[in-house]
Amino acid sequence: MLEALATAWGYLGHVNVILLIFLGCVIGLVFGALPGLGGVVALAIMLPFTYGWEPMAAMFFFAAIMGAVPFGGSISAILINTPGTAPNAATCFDGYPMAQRGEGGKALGISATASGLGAIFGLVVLLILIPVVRQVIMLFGPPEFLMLVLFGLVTIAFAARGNMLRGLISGGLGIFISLIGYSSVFGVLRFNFGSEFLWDGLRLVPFLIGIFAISELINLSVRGGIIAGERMPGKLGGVLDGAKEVFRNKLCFFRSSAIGTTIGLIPGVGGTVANFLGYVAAMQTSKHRELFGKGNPEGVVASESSNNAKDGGALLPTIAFGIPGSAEMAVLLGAFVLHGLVPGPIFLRDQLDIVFALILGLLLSNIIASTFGLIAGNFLARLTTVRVSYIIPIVLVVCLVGSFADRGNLWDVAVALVAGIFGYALVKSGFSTICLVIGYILGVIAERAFHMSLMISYGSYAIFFTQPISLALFILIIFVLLLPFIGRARAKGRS
Amino acid sequence: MRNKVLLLFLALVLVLVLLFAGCPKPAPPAPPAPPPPPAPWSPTKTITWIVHYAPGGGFDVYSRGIALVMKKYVGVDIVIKNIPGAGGRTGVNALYRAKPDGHTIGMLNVIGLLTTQMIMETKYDMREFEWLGRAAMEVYALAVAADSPFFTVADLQKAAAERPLRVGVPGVETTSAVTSAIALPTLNIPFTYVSGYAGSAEAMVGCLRGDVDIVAYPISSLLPLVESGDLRVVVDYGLERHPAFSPDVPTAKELGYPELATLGLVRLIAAPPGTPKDVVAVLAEALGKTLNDPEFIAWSEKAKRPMDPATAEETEEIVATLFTTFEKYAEAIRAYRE
Amino acid sequence: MKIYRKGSFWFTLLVLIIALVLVSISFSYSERARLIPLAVGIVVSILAILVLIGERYPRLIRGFDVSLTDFTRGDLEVERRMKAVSKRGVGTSVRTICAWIAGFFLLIYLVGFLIAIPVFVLLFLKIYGHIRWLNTLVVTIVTWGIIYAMFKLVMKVDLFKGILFGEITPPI
Repeated sequence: MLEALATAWGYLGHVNVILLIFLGCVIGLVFGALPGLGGVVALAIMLPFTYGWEPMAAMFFFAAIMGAVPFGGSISAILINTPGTAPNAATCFDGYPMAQRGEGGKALGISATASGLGAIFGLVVLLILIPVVRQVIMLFGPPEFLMLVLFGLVTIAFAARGNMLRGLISGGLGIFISLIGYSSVFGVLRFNFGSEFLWDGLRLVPFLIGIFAISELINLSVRGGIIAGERMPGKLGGVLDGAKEVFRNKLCFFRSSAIGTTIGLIPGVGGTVANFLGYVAAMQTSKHRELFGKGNPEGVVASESSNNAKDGGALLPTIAFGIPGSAEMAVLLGAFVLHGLVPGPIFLRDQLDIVFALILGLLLSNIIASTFGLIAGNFLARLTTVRVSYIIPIVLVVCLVGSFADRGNLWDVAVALVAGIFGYALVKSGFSTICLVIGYILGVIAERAFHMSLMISYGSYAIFFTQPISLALFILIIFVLLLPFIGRARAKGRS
Repeated sequence: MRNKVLLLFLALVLVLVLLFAGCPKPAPPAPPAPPPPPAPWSPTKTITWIVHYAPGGGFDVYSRGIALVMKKYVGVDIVIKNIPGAGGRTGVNALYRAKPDGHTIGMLNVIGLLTTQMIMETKYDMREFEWLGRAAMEVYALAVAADSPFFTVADLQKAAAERPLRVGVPGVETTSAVTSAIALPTLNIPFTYVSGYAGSAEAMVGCLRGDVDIVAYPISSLLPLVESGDLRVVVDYGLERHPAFSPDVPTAKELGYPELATLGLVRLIAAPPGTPKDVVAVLAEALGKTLNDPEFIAWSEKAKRPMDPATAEETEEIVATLFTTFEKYAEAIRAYRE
Repeated sequence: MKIYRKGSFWFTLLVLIIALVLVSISFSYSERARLIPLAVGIVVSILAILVLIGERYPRLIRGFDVSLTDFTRGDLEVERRMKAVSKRGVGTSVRTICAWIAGFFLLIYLVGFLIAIPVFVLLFLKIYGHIRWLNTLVVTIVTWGIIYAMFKLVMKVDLFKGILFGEITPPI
């Protein structure tokens, strides 16, 4: 193992490898920040260019791209409420309100630090788990997965501010939206009203862009002024302040990173779920639950650390079984094959140096990106002081192009627009975007896990309670649901 | 003042992007002088190669490998365009409707799309494509977890008689599911689907976990886990034994079911309907040369992606045969979809 | 305020209608495929009815519409901040901005991204934002330049060209 590490490390001595890492980092940041693009697109575009390179150099390059994307995406999420990539969506919930308060720099500082440290966490866990990778991956099957996702869905009941009924309705609507389209579980096309366009449902990226960014643009237009409208005089938050916040919330950071890595481990689940579950877990267990969604630094710590930690976790099934842990990993697998490498159980034995190249690439890229964030954060945050008249058209252009670039279909742009108007009306009527988005992200996944579990158990519901991890998670969910009642009973008992 | 911040920022981004766009990238290998084209036609701009799945999967990888070498023989760049969606139908429709001028081609998963066409109304008709050739054909094999009690088909039949065996598939419309809907009743093994896995690899892990009893996939997909000792192949649907399998593994032909050999994953390359014959000829010849190119063969061996090249004429026949074969099973497939 | 004037009433009504429609569609699916949609749809419909009742008779639903989390501290905090400085400018109505956005989409549909973008940015900055000509032109050119460079040069993605230029409307 150490030999492989030494081999990989040796490559860092070459200038062109270092340059490649820098270049990859920049590409990752740009593609991450522009909504609708993201890691998958960046990797897919760069793939053909790398043909003929030395495999190790190519791996450093790809890892560098992947490493910088999450932080790049958080920049747009925080400053203009536009998730640069879907896994940055939860960052909008608290990052953007912070920017609105003039604390954009601070939020970027949190994101830079949490992203970098979260990635390191994920990679460390990856290294530790390599010897037991097969057992670890086999721990999670459909029943366990259902419980994890249910944990997230249950938050819908908590997240609505004083409006539980409307929160639940929002969540239900979100679940419905996620069910639109063809389901390969049943072989049935649902709720598409005869439209071929809706065959795959409402695409994630345009929908999120609409709900977050476009609805906020409408709001900005109605409100006028600048994004950082609620800025307290004299206080333009600094990045270093943000960096310190991560250390102040150590428990939150570790918990979210752990969740991110775990979800990353589970093959076939994207980073969006990791991001959400990390955020949601932080919300449920925080002492300041009520501040979530209003600019609680904990929220940014949670979402940014989990979506970077997932990269380390996602590498595990990719290299161990050739099963992509995330969409970017799927493209990476393609890159492996293109360079004549065959992922699989043998891979870990014979090609450990490639693994270390990936790890080092991810690590360095994250460090570079985070450093960039800390240096440039305050400058970037000044964008929130620019007049809305400038922000609206530019962001609108970027959003619509991004929605189109998702799969080259003009109607996705229409989806984004309609989602934007819908999102705006939703909030104005007292409903909750957070609940809607939670339902949308987790709904169809939960349904699939549920039905698959029943198919495995020949229809018996006992499967959820006989598998140890599944049972443990179920008890945890019940506990979390009862927590507020226990708290109130205790408070009453005291008074 | 603040607006200058925005301008400065935008200018910086623009400079960065322009630098990036103009940045010298590693040049593609310079094409050697192409052989004089047998027909007057030759491509005048970049050729788009449509892959109807997301990047990273088998079809995508094969396509990229071929496209890189085929550039030499057509003289222009070949760019892969992934059009995933609707189980592949979006991409197929795109190829079906593309301008038939020789600048758009694609690799198609014929079996999956063909069975879909038989069962429901589709906007494409597989018979109308202009076929350029076959890249690969892989026969399916039936595998179980190495620690399961099943060693032979007889074992499977016995267990399935008590309760149906669970087959792990990504979806009831996938080639793997369709193959099982045909093969398992032929082999007398009652089964039920566990559908919804994200992909073939996830289904295989499900098998290892014990969530499903059987998986059926092309041999190259199963190979890594077979070689590592996690999966055990019970029967090979092909006509000949595969060298990598243990001597205990029979072929379906030996067991008396030679018709199962038609159930394979075929990777065929096509041009849109209406492409003129001389254009097709040029492209088909370029493809043929690519598949027999030593550089390409070296890559395919290293990447463990076996090739079974066939010419354009052969491919036409293959498609016709597939149609007749699957027409027989259309009813059975339809029944299993719900 | 009469409830019929409140936007939230109509929106909730819309939600109820959508939920009921979806529930009725769900019946046409197979048993397994309709399980979750029915469960969610029926619950949402009932809750929507409750909320509608609450719009007219708030006191009836007060027992239901609680929060499992005590949000009062958070709300007080937000109010405190809002009372500080609130840099609000003069805004526009929802109709205006929606009209601009819809107009942009129509423009894209007709002439494609690469023409619609500079036209829209220019018109918006000038008419909506009353920005000086110099700034308007600079921002327009730079924005268009970035989109062009990124998508045409780097990614070689074909942006929609507009139906007036022969592009076909994608199928719905």
